[in-house]
Amino acid sequence: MPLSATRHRGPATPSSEAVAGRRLEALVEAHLPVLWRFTRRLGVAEHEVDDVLQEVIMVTARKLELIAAGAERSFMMSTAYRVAADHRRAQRRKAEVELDEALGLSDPGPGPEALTEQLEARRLLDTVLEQLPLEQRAVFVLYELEGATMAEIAAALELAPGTVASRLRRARELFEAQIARLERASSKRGGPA
Amino acid sequence: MSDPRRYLEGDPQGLAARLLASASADGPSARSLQRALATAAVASAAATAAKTSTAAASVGLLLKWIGVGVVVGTLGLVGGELLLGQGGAPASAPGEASAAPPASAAPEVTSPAAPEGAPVSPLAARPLERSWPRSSAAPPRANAEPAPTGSASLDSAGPGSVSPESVSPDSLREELAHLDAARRHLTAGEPGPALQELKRYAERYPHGRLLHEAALLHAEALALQGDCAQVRALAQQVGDGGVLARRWATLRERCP
Repeated sequence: MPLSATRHRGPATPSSEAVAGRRLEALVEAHLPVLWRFTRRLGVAEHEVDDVLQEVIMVTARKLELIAAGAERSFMMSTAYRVAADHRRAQRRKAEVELDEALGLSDPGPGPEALTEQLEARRLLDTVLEQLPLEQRAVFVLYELEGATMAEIAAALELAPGTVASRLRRARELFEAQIARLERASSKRGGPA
Repeated sequence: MSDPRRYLEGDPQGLAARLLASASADGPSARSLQRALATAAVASAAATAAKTSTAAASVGLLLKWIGVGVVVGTLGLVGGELLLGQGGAPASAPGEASAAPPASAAPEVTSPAAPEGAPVSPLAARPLERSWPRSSAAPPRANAEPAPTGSASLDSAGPGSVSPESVSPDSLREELAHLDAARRHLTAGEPGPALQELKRYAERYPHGRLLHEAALLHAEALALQGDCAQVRALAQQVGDGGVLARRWATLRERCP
């Protein structure tokens, strides 16, 4: 679904708080999944995603009248990015999980077959993404996971198109380096990644 | 700007695609969605409240106007005895007057009388309007509203949320449902049922968060009944502020 796509439920009457409330509710219903994934993949802990999204919703509610029809999703994504970035800074997370640790090189842990399990794959993905700077990570997640075009990302994150392209390029280089490292580690353990 | 090929469009067996694909099934739980929707309801009301904060005094006046007998002092249209005498219902609950906050109580006794020849409000003859309770004597809002009945809770609300004491997403939904029903009646050209619905709303939520909207719907119903005198009086009391100004202006055009 393109970033610009939105879903509205038919308002009963124009220009009322009730209509605004329903518009907001429809936006939440329509975009919560992508916002949730985006926020989560930006590194916000799963149990904290709801709190971040709550703030996104509050901001959206305050600005709703100013958001052009069709631009709601971009606005919410942009807000989610900023809130998530603030949240990460506030948390002062030290979750610089070393890939080696995640791979269990020091401790073999689960075997290679665990990689086929979705949860393990997701954990590894988050570990890989954690190696990316946040600004690159946001572009990467929107492009690779949410299917946004670079133009849409530029609009959502309020970036120049060239900036999006360069961030995506660097993010992909880092991502591929981490993937290669994972594959090497997995082959060392004698199984396919 | 050409978009490079996405990993998920490449080899599905590749590690990159597999890891990325694992995230596609990720998403919010039903509880998260419920919580987000509750937040949306609260946020919307909070945003509205912020926008209309400048009209807070007008709300007080409106509530008084709606309340039994208040219209008498405010508009000087009819006497309190008339209201009490015709309605049969008590004008106020015991202790209301003494509990009224000074700021909102003042207009009741000090507001100027209506100009001579002003239309006599039929409020006294209408059980509907008389049934709107006085707000000035009200306890804090949260205590007057039904307790949340659903599982959605704001106890764990994040930053920016309004306090749980003042927020009940479920009651907000119910408030909205009343107003939506009234609006549907208005759309169907049925002011009577709309007023009845608003009466039920007022009875259940005497200090509801959508009173601005309710008052406007009330005025729209009155206008539909051709009761322009009351519309004008109500518009005068509510004022022009807030996000409903345009609709009030439209009403005033209909009832010049």
